[in-house]
Amino acid sequence: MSAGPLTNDATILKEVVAMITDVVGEDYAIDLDIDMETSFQEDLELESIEFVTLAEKLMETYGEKVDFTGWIASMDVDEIIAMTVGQLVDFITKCQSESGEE
Amino acid sequence: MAVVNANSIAINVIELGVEDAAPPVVMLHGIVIDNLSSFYYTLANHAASAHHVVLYDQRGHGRSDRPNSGYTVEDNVEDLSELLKTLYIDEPVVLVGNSFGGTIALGFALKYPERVAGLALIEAHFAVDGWGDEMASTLRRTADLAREGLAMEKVLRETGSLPEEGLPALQKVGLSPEEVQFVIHWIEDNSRRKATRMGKTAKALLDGTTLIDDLQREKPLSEEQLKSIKCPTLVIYGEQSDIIDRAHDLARCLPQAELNVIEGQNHSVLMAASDRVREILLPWLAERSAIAAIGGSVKNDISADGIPADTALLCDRS
Repeated sequence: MSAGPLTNDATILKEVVAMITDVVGEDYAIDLDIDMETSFQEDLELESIEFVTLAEKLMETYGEKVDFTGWIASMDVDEIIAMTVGQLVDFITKCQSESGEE
Repeated sequence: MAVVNANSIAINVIELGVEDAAPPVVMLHGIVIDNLSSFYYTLANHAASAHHVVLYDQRGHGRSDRPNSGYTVEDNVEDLSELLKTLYIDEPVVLVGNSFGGTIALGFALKYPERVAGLALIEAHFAVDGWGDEMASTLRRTADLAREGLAMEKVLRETGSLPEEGLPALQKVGLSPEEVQFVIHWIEDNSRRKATRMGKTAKALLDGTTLIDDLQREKPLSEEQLKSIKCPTLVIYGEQSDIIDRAHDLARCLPQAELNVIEGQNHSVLMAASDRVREILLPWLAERSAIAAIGGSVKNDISADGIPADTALLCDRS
């Protein structure tokens, strides 16, 4: 998705926000000021099926470099529900910097 | 996530994990306020490190189509059958069913025994005498609650407060004070947007389709039918489940049943104690894979005559 090697939080955040907007709809998203502190449940009021749709989009976008399946599997239901956008962005950033150079 | 056409409806499906791992593991969620996300949160990703996991939204649920009719167990069994064909899955599968998902899993195992390598039944419902009427009455009540909830939410949005006793106009449906409190808590506990969407989805399914009538007509399974299900079957119920008798029926009738009752849990055991469910289910799934590996192309070893003798030992917990 991103053209270059940029893996900083700001870039990833922008990409994640675009995907969230896609999932919840522009009309709803336009009123939300999504940042790293925003929580999926409390703030975005995401339905669980919407969260799954988002996760699928993330997997499509970032591919194998980002192991969402393993990450979700490391959490319990309450932790998934309490997740913030920042936690997600940090995870993607970490995976991308670990996966390397290019 | 993909939407595929099967049995003349669009079905939302997710495949995770190791593509050619045998047997494929198909997860079947519960009824009305449920969809594939409950398994996504609790089991699917956990199983995906070693298995080919298939999740889908049943008709009327999640992001699959909601046709006006066709909600019998048989219809759901055919959806599953056609979905597997669409996904080119022609080998025996393991079905993991929660609540009504267990009903579908049992229905599939009865109709297509040769296509099932194992059943994991979590708080499974199945039709016994009076089940159709009881299910219909529970679902009609759920529809009342959804309507009441949506009306209350509207009042809350417009006036900023809710009458403690619920709404006079809606008390005609005869909600008990406990039920009114349940609805109020439900609105408070869930975010406003989420509660509204859940309520609308439930209402559309219960008021807008033949689901309730279809299930009311469901015929009880006979003991002979249950006894004919010979595949390895993992049975998981909460100790305080309202349908704990079903656990004992299954343990008594299914020759390969392995019963697990989880202490202190009720019908919500999958969500409320998913760690305990995983502790039981993941090793059992690993056994299914090991057996599939020994059987090579397993196809008929497992389905036709039950399973290799060594696994029978695992099923006796008395």
